[in-house]
Amino acid sequence: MTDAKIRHSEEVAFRVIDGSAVLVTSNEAALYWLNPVATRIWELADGSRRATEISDAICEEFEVDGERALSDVNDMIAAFVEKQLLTQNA
Amino acid sequence: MTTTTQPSEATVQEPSSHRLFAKLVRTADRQNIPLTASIELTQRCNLACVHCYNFDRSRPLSRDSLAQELQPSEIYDIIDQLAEAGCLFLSFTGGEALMHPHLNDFVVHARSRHFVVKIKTNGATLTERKVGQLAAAQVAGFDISLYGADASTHDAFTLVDGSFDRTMEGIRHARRSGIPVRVNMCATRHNADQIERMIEMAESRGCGVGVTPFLTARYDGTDSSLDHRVERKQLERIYSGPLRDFLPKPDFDPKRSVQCGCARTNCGISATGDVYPCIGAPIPSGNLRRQSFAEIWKDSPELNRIRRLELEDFRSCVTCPTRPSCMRSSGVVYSNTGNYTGAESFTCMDAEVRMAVHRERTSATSGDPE
Ligand code: SF4
Ligand code: SF4
Repeated sequence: MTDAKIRHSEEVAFRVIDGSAVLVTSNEAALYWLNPVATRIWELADGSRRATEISDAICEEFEVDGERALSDVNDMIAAFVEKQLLTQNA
Repeated sequence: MTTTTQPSEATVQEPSSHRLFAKLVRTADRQNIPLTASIELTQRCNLACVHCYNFDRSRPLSRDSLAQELQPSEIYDIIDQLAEAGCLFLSFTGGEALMHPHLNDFVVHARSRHFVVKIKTNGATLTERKVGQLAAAQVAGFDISLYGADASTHDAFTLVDGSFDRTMEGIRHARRSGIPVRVNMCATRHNADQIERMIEMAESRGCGVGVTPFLTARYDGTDSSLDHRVERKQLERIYSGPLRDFLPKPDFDPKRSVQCGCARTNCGISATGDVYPCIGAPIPSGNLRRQSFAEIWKDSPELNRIRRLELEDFRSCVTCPTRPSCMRSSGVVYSNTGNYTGAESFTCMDAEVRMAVHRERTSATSGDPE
């Protein structure tokens, strides 16, 4: 997972509203509302970064422990890939 | 990281969640974010429906009106401005949106700006090829209008022979491609006894259904569109028959608002760039050829006036006994009376019939009318 660049799935629609990202799946079957950290991860997952790079940015911006941040970022990416909200480019 | 900011706990996921959507609307309302918008791409149409609110379609669309319509470059720019303003749900409408030669490009552009994009259409030109293109462009759904359960009723209303068959064909193509379809029906005096069949036709094809009895006068000031509204007796039959299980329960909260998302979470943009509080409330509130969307949305006196309205400003409604069952749309009332905060006889009659059906129902089951 750490070598792949992470990007938004093409099917998902989203907007950052009042500081939180709102994601809607293409058939509108599901709506997700992210908290500020997850919103930031979502914004960073624009296809130009790997999980480690996203986690580095999160560490810096939210002053959190590196190992914990990477594990949380990886958890979120895994969950979102499974829900087809994020995809991974080799 | 604190517990509340852990990304692993970060998502609030509630598939098909009405509660989460309602929270989103409340947030947008508080922040004045135009969460939903409709852009009228053109007033051209391949049909000539007798109730059409654009203009009296027994006459052709004037060259002048056509020449004033937004250019594609302007529409791309408006889509960008709406994204910037926080809009997420975008509908392309008309006239007939499918008649715009750049519709597909607009959908592609709106998707690149991360919108949920829907198309309101009569479906009569929704060929397999067109559906394929729009599916590839990731359209999220079609709202397709149906005016009768058979060709003679539907075509007599659209004034175009063969339109019923083509619309049904369009629905078929859309469903085959897996794109969600909602079939919108105007209950009129011509099709009132066909509503049940129309609902069955839509549901058996896997479509959602919307039924409204509300028609409006036209942008051009003519109002023969209103001659086609259902009569009271027909409405009573529809509400106690096919729509019986769909009627929302009356809301007896004395603070129940008679307002909608107009100018708060919703806006409309006309084919010539006028910004409206809602596409169904054609109050010109600024024009995008003269001002940016952000300026109009924030500063327009018309939009701000609507935002300041309180229940007490709707004088006829505030003490009205049928308000609990009223489906009042300020856009409809404005279009038909010129008074945004007023009341309209058809809307009031509709509310009375809803209330009567509710009372009949509850007294039949519990002996208690409320
Ligand atoms: S399909 Fe819509 S735009 Fe066209 S004539 Fe009918 S109501 Fe008007
Ligand atoms: S029934 Fe008429 S007066 Fe009563 S709330 Fe509705 S629109 Fe207003």
